[in-house]
Amino acid sequence: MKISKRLPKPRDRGSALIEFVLFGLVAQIGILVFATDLLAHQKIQMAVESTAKQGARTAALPGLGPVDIEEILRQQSSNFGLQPGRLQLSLSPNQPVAGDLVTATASIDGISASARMRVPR
Amino acid sequence: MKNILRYLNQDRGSQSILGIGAAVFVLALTLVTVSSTQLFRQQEQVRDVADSLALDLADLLRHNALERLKDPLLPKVDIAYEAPQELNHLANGSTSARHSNLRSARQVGDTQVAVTVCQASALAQLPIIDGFAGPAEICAKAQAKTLLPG
Repeated sequence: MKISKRLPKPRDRGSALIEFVLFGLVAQIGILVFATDLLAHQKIQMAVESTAKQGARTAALPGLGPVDIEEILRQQSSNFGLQPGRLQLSLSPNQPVAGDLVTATASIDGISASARMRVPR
Repeated sequence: MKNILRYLNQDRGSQSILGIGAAVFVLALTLVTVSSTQLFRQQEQVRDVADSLALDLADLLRHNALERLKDPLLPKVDIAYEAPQELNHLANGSTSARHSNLRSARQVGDTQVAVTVCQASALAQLPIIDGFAGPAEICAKAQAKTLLPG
């Protein structure tokens, strides 16, 4: 108690408020927004890579139909918490035959990934 | 001694030091999270490429065995020779296989194929890190088995 009485009165109250707003709010929120953006981007990349892989694997199986692609898209959208219809998947060639190399390309909002597998000869 | 006690008892100081420290900590935490996710993604990609290649080569073994049933003079397929070409075929048009290189490919017994595929770590290629943290290469091994006719 005696010590605090001897100390000079603090004269930096205004400065503390500015420092709190600048470093405590602006910088931290900026980093948080940056991190959220980056992680959301990585999530989309993982979603398209996983979908392309699933697409290629399904296409390499005999008896592929349009229902299988719809099922992959539905499952992957559910797994990654994406809105239905946002995720797209295309196969090349559309109706692969034995020995073909099939390429599956998945995309969301311009971010795409492709995977390739060979249909058993 | 008196001065030290007096300094310890007061709570005055600059908030900016605490703020900068916290910001650096949060930024470091973010970078660690993003980098580990990046490494995980790449590991998955390399594993997929190795899986596809092993399945492709095992299918080639089976196809060769079928062809040799028709024509017994046909030579046995050489997996070590075919593997780089098959990896090239898989890499054309695939985003994950593009930067893969084949470390080894061999036939195990009559029906199995074992491959090892590697990629330079994307994290190690960043200009700031430059191989300082994390592995320089990410590799995956895969083995596939086929059923031979007869």
